[in-house]
Amino acid sequence: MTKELEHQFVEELEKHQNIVHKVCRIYTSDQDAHNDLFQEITIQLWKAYPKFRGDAKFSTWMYRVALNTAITLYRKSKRTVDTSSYENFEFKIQSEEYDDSEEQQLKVMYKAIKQLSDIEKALVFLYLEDKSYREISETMGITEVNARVKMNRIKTKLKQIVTP
Amino acid sequence: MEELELLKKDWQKGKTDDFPKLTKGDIYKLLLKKSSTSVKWIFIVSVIEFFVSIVGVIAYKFFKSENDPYQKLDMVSEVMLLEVVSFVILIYFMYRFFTYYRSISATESAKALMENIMKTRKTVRLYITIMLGISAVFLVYFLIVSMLSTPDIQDLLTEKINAGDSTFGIYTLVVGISLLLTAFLIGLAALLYFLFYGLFLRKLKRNYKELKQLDF
Repeated sequence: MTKELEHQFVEELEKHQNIVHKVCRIYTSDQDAHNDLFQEITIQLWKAYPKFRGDAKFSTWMYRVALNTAITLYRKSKRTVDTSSYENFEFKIQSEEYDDSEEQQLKVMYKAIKQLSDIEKALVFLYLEDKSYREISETMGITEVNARVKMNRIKTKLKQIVTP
Repeated sequence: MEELELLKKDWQKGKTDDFPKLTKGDIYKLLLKKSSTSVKWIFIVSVIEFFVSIVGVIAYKFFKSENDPYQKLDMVSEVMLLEVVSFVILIYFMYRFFTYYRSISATESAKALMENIMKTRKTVRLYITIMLGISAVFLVYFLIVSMLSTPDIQDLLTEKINAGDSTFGIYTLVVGISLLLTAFLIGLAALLYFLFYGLFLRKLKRNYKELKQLDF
C-alpha cells in the first residue's frame, strides 16, 4: 500500500515539478538554496500526501504545501550564502541603464520581486500563476477583499522599485 | 502595472524550461532525505525540555545521599509538595503540547499553519514560565532557610537577642540576599531561554505579523 502510494506520489510530483521549481525561484537566489528548498518542499509534500484526498486538484494542493514550506517551515541551511545585499547593488546599476527592451524589463522585475517580503512574494507568485483572488485568499488564510487590497499595494510597491 | 503583466505572460509561457528536470529516480532519492523545519526543531527542543524536568526529579530521588540538604533543613514535605505540583503541571502541559503539535499541518492556509505553530510554542513557553516561577519561589525559601540555619548566623542572632538588640537588620539582609540571588539566577535562565527562541522564531513571527496586519 505504501509502495503504491509512493509510486503515485512520485508520478504526480514529476508531472507538476515546475510548480515547486517556480516557488524555489521566487524564494531563493542561488542554485544551492534552490535545491535545498526543493528538497524540503518534496519531503513536506510527501508527509502531507496521505491527507490529500483528491477533492482538490493535485496542483492546487501543491501550491499550499509548497508556499507553507517556503514561508513558514523552511529553515535556511548553513551553506546558503546571503546574496541579497549584492543583488540590490547590482539592481541599482541596472536600473540606471534601464532600457525598454522586454528582456531588460523582465530582469528588473525579477530583481524587484526578490526585494519583497515572504508574504508579498507568495501573493505575487499566486498572481503570476493566474490564480483567482478566492484561491489566493484561501491559500493565505486572509479575506478575498484583503488579498485584493494587498495585491494592489504590492503593484504600487513594485512600480516604485522599478521606476528610477 | 505593465511590467507585471509582461512578467505574467512570460511566466505563463513557461520560460521556466531552464529548470533542471527531475526524474522519478531523483524524486525517490529526495524522499529519503532528512527534513529540517522549524516545527521539527520546536518539537525536539520541547521534548528535551519536558524530558530534562522529568530526569531532574527522578535523579534527585535516586541519588539522594544521606546528608540530603532538605532533610537537614527539615524541608522534606515542602520538596514533596514541589515534586507533586511539578508533575501535575508537566502532565497537563505535555497533553496540551501534543494535541497542538498534532494539529500542525502543511495543508492548512498559511495563516492557520502559523497560528497552530505559535499555539504549540506558547504552550511550552507558558510551561517554562510557570516552572521558572515555582523554582524562584522555592529557591528564595530554600536560601532563607539554609542561611538562617548556618551556625554563624544563628550565633549572630543569639548574640543580638541576648544583647537586647533588634534582629530586624539580619533578617532583612538574609531575605535581601536570597531575593537578589534568585532574581539573578532565574533571570539569567529566562534571558537565555527567550533569547534563543526569539532568534529561532523571528522569521515566523515577522511573517505572521504581516499576515495579521492584512486582516486587521
